[in-house]
Amino acid sequence: MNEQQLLYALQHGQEPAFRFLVDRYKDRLYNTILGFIPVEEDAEDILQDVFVKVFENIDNFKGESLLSTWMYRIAVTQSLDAIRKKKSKKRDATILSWFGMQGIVEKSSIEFVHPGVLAEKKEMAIQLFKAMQQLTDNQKAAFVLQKIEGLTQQEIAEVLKLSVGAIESLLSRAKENLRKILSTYYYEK
Amino acid sequence: MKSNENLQSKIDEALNSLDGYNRAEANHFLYEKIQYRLSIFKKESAMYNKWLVRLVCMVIVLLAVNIYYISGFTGNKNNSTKVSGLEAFAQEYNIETTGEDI
Repeated sequence: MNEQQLLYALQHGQEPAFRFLVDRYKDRLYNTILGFIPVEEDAEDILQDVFVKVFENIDNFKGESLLSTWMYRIAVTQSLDAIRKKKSKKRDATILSWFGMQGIVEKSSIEFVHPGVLAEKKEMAIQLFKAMQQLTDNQKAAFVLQKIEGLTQQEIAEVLKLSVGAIESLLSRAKENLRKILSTYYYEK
Repeated sequence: MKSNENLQSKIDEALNSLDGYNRAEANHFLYEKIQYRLSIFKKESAMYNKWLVRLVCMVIVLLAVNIYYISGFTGNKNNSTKVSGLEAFAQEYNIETTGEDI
């Protein structure tokens, strides 16, 4: 099934087409989301949200970009929204703790080990994921799409709706910042 | 110098630690979970629509009752002015009137 046929079937509410779409993209999107939200249960929740969003909005998709680009964009947006919500929950919990009340404690992502990382690189990957959490939203998005998904700068530019030049600069700043964060960590160690 | 080189190589190793990684697999029952979520969403939106229809019906009934009473009230007012107008006419020409005649 090519992209046009798939899109036509999806826009006509054909269930097998939706199942095909989920099967084709679930792993790619799951790994992208894991780059932002390094907690497997949370990443799976967001993945479900992404497909629900795709199902609800498929009629509005005009085909101006590839289906995969559009879906990566939804995944990035949903992931960044989830991070913002998590941060505000954390803030609320801190405020509540000042008054002796207990807020909802979020699962920690500090020691996240990506399930696909090779055994000998696990320790390094943990530090990289930790450092990635400190990047700005756009830097993180560009870095995740390049490092985890292996997208080209052109493809990242389409997902994030930015110019290729902007992506190039985002990636170089992301790497520079990661170097700084990692050097502080390894220097103190 | 050596420690700086060591530091840089560790940073490089960390930055390249995702090279050649294998994709993690999403849950095998993902599609079923999405279907479940969509069915809840459909139920909720159907429930919302039901309530919306009920609300609109209530507003329409309330408006109809109000319009009925308001029009009835102004209608009575017109009658009374009509009556008083007739009475004034009758008084002017010394004609006796009763409510039944009108």
